[in-house]
Amino acid sequence: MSEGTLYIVGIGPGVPDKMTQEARDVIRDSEVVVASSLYQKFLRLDDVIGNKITDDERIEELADEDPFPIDEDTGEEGRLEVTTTPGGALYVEGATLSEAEEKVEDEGIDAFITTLDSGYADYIDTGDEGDGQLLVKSSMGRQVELAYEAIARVREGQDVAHVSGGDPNTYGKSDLVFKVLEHADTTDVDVEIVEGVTAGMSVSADLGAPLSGDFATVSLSDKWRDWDVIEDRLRNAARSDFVILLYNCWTGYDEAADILQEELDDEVPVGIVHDAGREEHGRNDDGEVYRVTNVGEMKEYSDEISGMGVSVLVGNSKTEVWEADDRDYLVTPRGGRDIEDF
Amino acid sequence: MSTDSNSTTETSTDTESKCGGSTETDSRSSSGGCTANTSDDDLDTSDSTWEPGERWRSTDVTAGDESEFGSFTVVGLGPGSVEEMTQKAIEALDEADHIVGYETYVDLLPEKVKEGTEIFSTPMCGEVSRTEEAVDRVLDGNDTAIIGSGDPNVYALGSLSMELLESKGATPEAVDFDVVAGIPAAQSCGARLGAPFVNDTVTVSLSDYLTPMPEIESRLHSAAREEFTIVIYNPWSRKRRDNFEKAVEILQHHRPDDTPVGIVRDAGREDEVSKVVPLGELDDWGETDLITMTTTLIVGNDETYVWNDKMVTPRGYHQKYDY
Repeated sequence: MSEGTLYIVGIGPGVPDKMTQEARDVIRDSEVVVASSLYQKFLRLDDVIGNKITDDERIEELADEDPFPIDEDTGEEGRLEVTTTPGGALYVEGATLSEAEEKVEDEGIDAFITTLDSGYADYIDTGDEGDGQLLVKSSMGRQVELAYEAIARVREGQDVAHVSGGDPNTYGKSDLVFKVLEHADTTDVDVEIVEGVTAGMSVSADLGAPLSGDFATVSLSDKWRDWDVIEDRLRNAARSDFVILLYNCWTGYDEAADILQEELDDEVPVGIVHDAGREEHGRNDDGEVYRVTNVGEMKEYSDEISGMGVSVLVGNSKTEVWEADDRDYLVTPRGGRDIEDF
Repeated sequence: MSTDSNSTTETSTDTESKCGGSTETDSRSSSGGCTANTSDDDLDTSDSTWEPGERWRSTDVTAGDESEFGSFTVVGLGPGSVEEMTQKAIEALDEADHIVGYETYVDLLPEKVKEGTEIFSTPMCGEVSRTEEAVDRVLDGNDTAIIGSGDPNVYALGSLSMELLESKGATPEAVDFDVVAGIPAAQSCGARLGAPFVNDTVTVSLSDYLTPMPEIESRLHSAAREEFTIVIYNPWSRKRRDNFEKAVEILQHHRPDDTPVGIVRDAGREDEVSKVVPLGELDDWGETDLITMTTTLIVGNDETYVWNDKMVTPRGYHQKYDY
């Protein structure tokens, strides 16, 4: 097998205290970290990935340089922008990866962001030994190229951490990585999945005890399939009295609500939770939502459904709302029969 | 039961408590246990004053002055190792004055959180009386955490805790109730298999202890028909042999015999085993020690395949990507 390992790491729902130590350690110790800009931001804020440059003079010095060639395809001149992140990291935009790595080596530059064929990357000096950690920004539409690059680096002996929000198995990245490995006929790459707390579990905990029994997880995104499939699954899950966790609700929410209204009583409780806990960690742009409503009224809150951080939980026929001063809880009692049956 | 004294607070109370539970000091074992499956075969609720499905029993109301209640946190430990607990779980346990849990899981806790904490662990008895014990401690004014593997919402102690709390006349807000999510067994098992349920999935327990078998069957039919991947908890026990056979029959009715089924037993423990078998052979495995109460099954759908020993259920990337 390969010397390096390709880790597919779940970081949980985006707050530091719901990440495991294992995820933290794997990301810290990997030579390459592939993550979306949002997750990179979270990992920086949590000091899982590096933030090294805070020296303003050094930043300005870098901004004055113009080391980037004209783009052969577009004829446009390379662009150089230097900005600091909330955590103080330096971004230099416009270099290719090899140029960036050269700069790191030759000039001792600590951090880079560079436009690559395979997306964006920046390079961060992670310690006294000078071992750099390459951060690659994953972007939709570039996943396949990124996976190929990851394979190449793992074969060279590097550890690569591919970051998923929540858990890699629940609408995460693991299937795509395996697809690419298969396509490239790559059986020598050591792949390890590091599991994480799913958004569904996090939201359920916030709401109290809404699951307790059998539940269905349905994504409303029709990016990879026809809406008919989603509709059928939703309808049948509702008819079979599953508690339903909806993912990717920024699309199809009203349509889903229509379906649920046809299948379920209006009084069935619904919980809408957006970015729970992220605000207190300084990482929420739109404000948190904690809303307990019901199937009949869920469409009134369409405007609260936005972005990746929203989860919607639809109860079943047994789910109850327990009102409290601080928040309303959702509870699906375990139900059961006479004690003699045990 | 170990009595080797460590840094935990020793008390002499509760040694005659329900079903063998005792307040004890740290007792370690080499087990790195995982599985969020409820071990309902071991349930012994005969001494419980509470019945599932029953919200209120006026005779149970024991709660006194609300201001004297402790806090109550239900903590999911995930697969078992300290590295796979969340920071929030460790903090919640650190803050608790009392920790209540099944012995195996108490053993897994980091020493740090056990220091200065009264531990009540039960080696064998049922979850109802264990949870009741925790609630009583809360109502007596102790900041109490009850622990379980996996996630508290997945066939675990979340709703039971809330129901018992209410049955004793308290409310979640009066005891500063909180649930701390953990990594469910499904995710631990999925990680070992590859990418078996990346898309829409249902989670079903074959235990008919709380859900009648016809309802379980109906859910299996529906999920199998709609091409959900299906995660099955509590797949087999001596008492539920028929449930397993019935489930296999339903799955085979809807899905071809070559559908991959992932079988993971004791994920996260030293003796963990995982294997992928074709659905057509699943019934043969029912009587083996591969499928037990601590096994989780993951049934693929029409897109699931096995490649390089990994079980993969891809989303429709072929529509978009050219590899």
